[in-house]
Amino acid sequence: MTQQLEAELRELLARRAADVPAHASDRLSRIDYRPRTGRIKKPVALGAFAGSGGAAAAVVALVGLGTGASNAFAGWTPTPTVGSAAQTLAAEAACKARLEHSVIPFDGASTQAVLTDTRGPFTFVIFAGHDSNNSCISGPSFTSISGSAGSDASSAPVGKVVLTSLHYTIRDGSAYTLIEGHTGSGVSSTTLVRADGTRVKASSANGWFSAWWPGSMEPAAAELTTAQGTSTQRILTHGRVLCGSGPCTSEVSASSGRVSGMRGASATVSGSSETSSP
Amino acid sequence: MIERLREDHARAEFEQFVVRCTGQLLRTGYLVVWDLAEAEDLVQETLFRVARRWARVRKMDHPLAYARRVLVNLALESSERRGRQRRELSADSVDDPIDEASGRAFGRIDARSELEGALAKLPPRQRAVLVLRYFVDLPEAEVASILGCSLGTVKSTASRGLARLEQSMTSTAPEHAETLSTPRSACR
Repeated sequence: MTQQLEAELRELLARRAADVPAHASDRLSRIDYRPRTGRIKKPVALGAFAGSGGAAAAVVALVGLGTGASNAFAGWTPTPTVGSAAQTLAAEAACKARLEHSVIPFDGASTQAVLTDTRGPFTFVIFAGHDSNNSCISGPSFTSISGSAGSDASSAPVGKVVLTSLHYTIRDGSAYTLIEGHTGSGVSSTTLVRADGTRVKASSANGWFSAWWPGSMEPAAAELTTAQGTSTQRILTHGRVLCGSGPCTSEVSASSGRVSGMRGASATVSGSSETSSP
Repeated sequence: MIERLREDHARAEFEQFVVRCTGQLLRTGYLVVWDLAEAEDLVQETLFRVARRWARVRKMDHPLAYARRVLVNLALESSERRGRQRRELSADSVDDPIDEASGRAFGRIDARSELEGALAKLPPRQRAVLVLRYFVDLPEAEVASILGCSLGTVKSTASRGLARLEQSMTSTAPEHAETLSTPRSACR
């Protein structure tokens, strides 16, 4: 009986393995695994000033999606757009509803939206509460929520910014990169310069800044505008172990699979995130 | 210049590794976690980790074995985490492997479906052992190495898993998942 069972088991496993579609494997094979980013637990101060207002006057290239970009991000813009009140309210409501029914820490009672970033049809919201911090992207092709327990009391020095979160995730093979942080007083505008020199203008409000873009390109610097002019802070992420002093295991994105019926959902232990179709 | 050439060579090797091994890793991950979307996430994370250590991994005799070890352990950690999350969710919002009511209504469920259903309901570590033994065809000693446990533990875990599958093939009573109540085995 055991031999027969073993034979049936081998056959069953082989048959089920054959169900894996070739495109799933192809999609994973096409990902560039070399840029390594992750979620930063503790705020990371950006590097020393490395530029000046004069340098910022050089040719500025805003990142574009290009012809090979995923349709998942169609309509995304490198500069924030002005969303309608209806779009903002709908996104906030959808995000809160998702957060309330997720396993991600969410202090619904005290949470308030502190920053809204709109890029075409996508609305990104940062929520801050007494016991949780959350963010959410709501767009036509996907909704992503994330959060961590505890309040974020960190702040940035005058005229500088502090990076609190650099989150890189992939939805059905389409990568996107999300960056959040605090702006110090006097900073009126923040633009992220990516590793290839292209720029993405961040949204700023209530001492927060945020930007996101399709793909896995790392941010290399932040261009800051103050009353004194424009300056540049380097962002030191390349090669950094982003998991802090603890094991990276606790920060690994791990799919929740069928949990709550959200296919492709992912969650992390501290600094959780989930992604799903709307 | 020589350093640059070395880097290019290592990069090319890694890319070849990804092309060659992603499918195998994905199929193994899929069988261990029983969910394609989750398996894709795990393989992706595995390859990120392998890339980070590629300078060391590329010198190994079997880089795929290293990647498989990373993948399986990520899968088990993920399952344990999901087990904790399940406790916080209502029972009807997780898992839909078998419609027992319709199974009773329409009589016998064919044996193959029953075996598949039973396999789906095995504790992740038992399923991982069976997948590594009967799908990847690894010797027990290598399974023990991957899971960080003794040979005896692998043997007993496989034996218990097979017994449960056998029971499912012979029993008419529906079984219930014991994922949440199954104590963690001696494997790390």
